[in-house]
Order: sequence, then structure tokens, then C-alpha cells
Amino acid sequence: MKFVSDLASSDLIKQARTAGLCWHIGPFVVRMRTPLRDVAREVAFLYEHFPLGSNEGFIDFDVSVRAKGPFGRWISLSVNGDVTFDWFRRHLALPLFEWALHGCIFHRSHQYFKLHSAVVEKGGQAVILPAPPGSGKSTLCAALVSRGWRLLSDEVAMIQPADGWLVPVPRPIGLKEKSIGVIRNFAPEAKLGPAWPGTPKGAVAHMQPPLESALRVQETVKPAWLVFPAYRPGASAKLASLSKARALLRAAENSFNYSILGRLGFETLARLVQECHCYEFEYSDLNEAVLQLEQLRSQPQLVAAAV
Amino acid sequence: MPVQRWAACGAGELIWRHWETDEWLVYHVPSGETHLLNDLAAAALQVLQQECLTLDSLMRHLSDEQEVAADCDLQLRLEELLQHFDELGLIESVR
Amino acid sequence: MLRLLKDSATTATLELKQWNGVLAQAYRTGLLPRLGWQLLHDDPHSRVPDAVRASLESACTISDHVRRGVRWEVNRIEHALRRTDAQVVLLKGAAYIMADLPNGPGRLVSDVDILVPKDRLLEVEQALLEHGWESLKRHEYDDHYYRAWMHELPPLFHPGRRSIIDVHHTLLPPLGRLQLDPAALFEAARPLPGSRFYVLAPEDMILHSAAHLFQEENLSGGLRDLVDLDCLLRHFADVESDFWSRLPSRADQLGLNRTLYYTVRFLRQILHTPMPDELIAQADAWKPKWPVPQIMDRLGALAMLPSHFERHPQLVAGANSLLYVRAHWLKMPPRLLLKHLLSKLQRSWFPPQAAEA
Repeated sequence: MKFVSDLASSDLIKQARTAGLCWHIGPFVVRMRTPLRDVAREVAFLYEHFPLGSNEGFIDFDVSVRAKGPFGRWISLSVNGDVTFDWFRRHLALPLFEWALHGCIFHRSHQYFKLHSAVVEKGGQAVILPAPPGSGKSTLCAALVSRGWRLLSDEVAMIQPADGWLVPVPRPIGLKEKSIGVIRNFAPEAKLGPAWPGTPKGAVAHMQPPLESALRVQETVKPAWLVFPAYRPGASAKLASLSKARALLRAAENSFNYSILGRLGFETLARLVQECHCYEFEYSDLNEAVLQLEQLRSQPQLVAAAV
Repeated sequence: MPVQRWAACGAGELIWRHWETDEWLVYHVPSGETHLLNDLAAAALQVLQQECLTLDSLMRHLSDEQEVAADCDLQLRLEELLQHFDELGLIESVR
Repeated sequence: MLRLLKDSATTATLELKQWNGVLAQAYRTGLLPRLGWQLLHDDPHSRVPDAVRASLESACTISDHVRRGVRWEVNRIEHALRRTDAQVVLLKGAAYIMADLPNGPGRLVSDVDILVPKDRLLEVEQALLEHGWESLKRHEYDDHYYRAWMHELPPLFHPGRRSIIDVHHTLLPPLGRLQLDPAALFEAARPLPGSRFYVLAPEDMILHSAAHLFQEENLSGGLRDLVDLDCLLRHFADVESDFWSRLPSRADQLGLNRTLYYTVRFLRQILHTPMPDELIAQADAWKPKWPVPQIMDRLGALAMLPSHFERHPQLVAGANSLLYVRAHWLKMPPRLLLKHLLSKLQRSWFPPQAAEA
């Protein structure tokens, strides 16, 4: 099997400029077409551990990035022929590429039940961390992943309605503003792309999914915990038990397609809360947070007694 | 004047889940809405799924089942509940 | 994509990578769920590769959701209108779904359109307002424009369900160049079994959809409307007696001859809808003087067909705005049109300070 990292830089650039560069992200096939060398290189860096795909096959998300205007100072990005972002400044190409892929995965592919959450796994058990944007879940996710948890996703839990198992779709973890510095400190060995200033969400940088997470992308896993994280400055890491009924409603509020799936959405989520232990989680210090979740995993009975 | 009787949706249209005390989830298939009900509200809706009842009959039924006094307070709560259920389309007035 | 819509057996001839283009075009024209429904549920001759199946099923999931939403919305409208006996006719998408017509599955619907007799309009609006709907007042001028000149009330919005109802009292604007007498429509309307609602008679349904397509402001949704027309025509030709002669005589009666001419022309050219020669000849007799048919063809095709958009995006933008002016021209007398367009232009430069929810 060949990976993105197997391509020589010149081949990579040529491929992106002509037929397009294809690779697999979990169950999806993505193609990027762009004549812009730097964009091709940046994307290839973030996805270097992912297997290459074929231009002869079916492509789920076909992303095209082109320069526009005099001196090519702006770009336009389209997905499957539809212009998604137009006349954005050139340096935003990479964040926009990532956001475009978010949009594709979140708002299409309804063969999965999807929660807006991070998902990580260790020892065969997965934690789902649903939270709205801006809640710090990506930072927490990056911290966990730097401490040995496998990354399934930092943005979306994809659940198979038939059996309730989680399907990995690991992608670069998007870090914003202060989080970039926090993670650089917390995990100096983590591979981060450049920080891109001036996006609508401030400066954005991306952490590469670790090699192991990328290699184990085919391994589905059963969810064991549903934990709603909330970053509160100054708070000590604390888990509080949540009733299953309330956990279901909160999870539904954080779902991309609970309503769209109708009855199947309700039944899938009901099974999820039935089979998981459900908690609210308050924290401020990342080390403490990681320790608390580690304890949850290795000594669940102690945690259950404490809450 | 004929007294108003109420009936809830058929069995296939309400899907129930219940784990902890006083918290009942019901998914209403036709509207796609999910409701969190307490013990009394859940009991009322479940009774109306079985039988078509007036407010008075419902009150007596629930008073026995839930072991609460059949007083003005209960009547008021049930009146509000029925109006709320009606607005949500969970129950219907039947002639 | 058009070939697939016409004949699902064509699926067997497609290479895997050709599906990319087909699905992209279907998505852009709002026809992906329809294609999904046809290929996965309707036609035993279709062969869909596994890799593609998930995308089509996902699209069907969305249209199933829309269908449930429309059914519930109609249920709530019935609930709100239970104290009035006004005759209420469901139109367009809601009608196709509630009447179980073959273009219901896979149809995307963005709001519910109903037709109500003019003298019952306020009564119906009042009942809806009492049951949670609100009037979408964007700007006093628009409200005035709607009530005075258009054929519908300003849209009613339900904040709880985030749904919209358009309440019409006739099907074409009362001050436009084409006049339509709604009494005939109400008389011919057919009741839906088990419901207080009606739907338009088959010929009226066709003519309404066609009038909407060829006189509305934006033809880029047009391919989907053409597919509706094709589907309905085939169905009615099958189940209704004398349908092919009833259609043109009704068009004549309602003053929609030109509309029927365009319908026949575009359906034959783009979707190859089977039609008897008599109908074609009759419609042809109503064509406008040259060069209008040729210009409409080019403009219409440019706006409707997705492959044109891919190659010449500039051209389509131009085609659409030409049609926009044309559509308004049909709706309002020219002196009022100019005033309205100027006002719309002003508001887009200087939006009102307080935006209403």
C-alpha cells in the first residue's frame, strides 16, 4: 500500500496540478486539485500517513483550489464543482481546505449518525466528547492524543446505526489562537503545521494525526463513555454523573443529523446513552484533565463511587 | 354540552425510553420531536394511548395509579398538561 | 445525469469515475435525492456500484426527512384551520407528497404553498397566526408589495418548527399581464381522501408548475421543475382518461397557451417526454413570433442545464438576470416595476437598521 508520504515532492505537485491527488480518510476518498505548490505541500504534510487513492475510482469529496485576481493574491475553493469559498486571501488556503472537508463530512454522509464531538480511544474503549465549537474540545483532544490516546476524530463521532460502533475519520486537529501555544508547550513533539493568521476564527494551526491513529483507521470501536467537556478558567478537573435521558437530549443538541435520521436517530442515540456511562466534565488545567480521564478509563469504579 | 375526550397517538407513533426516576423520554415519530417528561406526564400520555378519556376520568385513573390526591392541584396540572400535549400534537380531541 | 433519469438501465454502462460527475450535477440541480430514489428503490434495472450507493442513500435520507416534515406541517395546518371551513388547496411539493404522486419521493421542498379563496384569506391568516405562525415582515414596502400586487400573503413563519407557509389566493400576480381566474381552479380541485385539503386537478397541476417555471424569477431551479413536469405528465397520461386533449383545452381556457407551448418544447428537447403528435401540433400553434422561441431556448437551456454552468459560469449569471427582469415584467405593469426594482436596489445598499427575527 502506498501512502501520501511515499510521493516525491515534485510528483506530488505535478499530480495535484493535473489529475489531482487522491487519498483515503477513513471511509471517504478525497481528491485535491490545485496548481498552487505550497498548498499541495501543506496538505500533503498534514495527511502524509494516509493511504493514496485512485483517480479512476469514485471520489466522495473533490476539492479544487485556484488562485484568482491579479498576482493570484486571492483564491477560490470548490467542492464537487460547487464554489464554496470565493475571493478569500491566498494565505487562508489551508484552513479553508480543512473547513471545506468539515462541511462535506458533517453535512453529507447520512449513512452515519454524527455528533459534533471529539472521539479518542485507549485499551479498546472509546470516549466521545460532544461540545459546541469554541468549547475547547479540540485542545483537550490534542492533549489526550499526545498522551497515548488514539485519535478517531477531533470534530465528529461517526456512529454506525446498525451496531452503534464508532468509525474513525482522523484528520488534522484544528487549534485556534491561544491553544496553539498551549499544545506546543504541552506536547513539544507533536507535529504542527504553520499558524495561519487572520481567519474568521483568529489564528489557526493544525496538528498532524499521529502515525498510529492513521494506521489504525480501519479499526472501529465500541463507545464506553459519553463525556460533555466544559473548559472553565480556574476550575479543577471534575466529573459529574449525568442522567441518561438528559445526556440524550444534550447529545441530540450536539448532533449534525439527529433530526434528519428521524426515528433511527433517536434509537441510535438511545442505544448510545444506554451503553455508555454519561458525565459532565469541568476542567481548566490540561494535565489534570488528562489524568482525570485516564483514571476514568483505568479505574471506572472509583470514579463512579466519587460522583 | 358534550364533554371533551382525549386520545393519544397510536402505539407505533410514540417511542419510549426510561432509565432514571421521573425522567421519561418519548420520541414522537410524525413530528420528529423528542420530549422529556416527568412521571405524571408520562403516565398521563401512556394512559391516553390505551384509552380515550375525559379530564375527570384521566384524573381518577392517575390518582389511583400514581397514588396522588385527586384534588384541584392535580386537576390544574392535568389541564395544563393536556393543553400542552394538544399543542404539540401528541393528543387529539375526540368526539 | 439526464440519461440516467430517463433510463435507469444506463447505470450498467457507466464507469466508476463517471459517477463523480453525475452525482455532482445531480446535487447542484437539487435532483440527487430523486436520482437516488429512482436508482435504489424504484427501478429493478438499475445497477449501482457499492461505492456510490452510500451517497445516493444519504441523499434519500434527506428527502425522507423532508417528506416527514411536510406531512407534519400539513397536519399542523389542518389542526390550526379546524374551526374554518374554507376550501384549502395544497400546491406544488406539498401536493405531490400528500397525494402520493410519483414525484413525491426524492422531492426537496422548502416551504408549504396553499391556495385559499380571496374572501377567506384574512380568516385563514388569522387562524394561522393564532397557532404560532408569524408574518415575515422584512420591510414595510415588501409587505405592501405583497398584499397589493402579488398573489400571496407575505410568507408566514413558524419559529418553533422553523417552517414557512405561503398563502396564495390566485396562482399568478393579479396585476401581471397574464390573468388567471382562480374560481375555475377551486371548482376543479380534487379532495384528498381522509383530509380537509384539496389538490389541483391534474391539468391545473401541470399548468401551475409550468407557469411557475416559465414566469418565475430564477430559472436555475428549472431542471428540477422540468423533471416534475415530465413525471406528472407520464403519470396522468397513464391514469387519467383523455388527458392529452384535456390539457391543451384547459390551457386555452385559462389563458396559458404560451406556457403550454414552452412546456412542450422544453420537455421534448431536454427530457424527450413522450407526447402525442396532436398535442405537439396544438402547442406549436401558440408559439410566439421569431426570434423569441430561439432566445428563450438559449436562455432557458443556459439557466437550467448544469453542464452549461460548469463551462461558462459568466454566461449563466447573465442569463439568470435577464430572466429575472423578464419575470418581473410579466408580474407587474412596467411603471410599477421600475419603482419596485429601484426600491429593492436601494435597500440592498442601505439595509434597514432593525432586522426582524
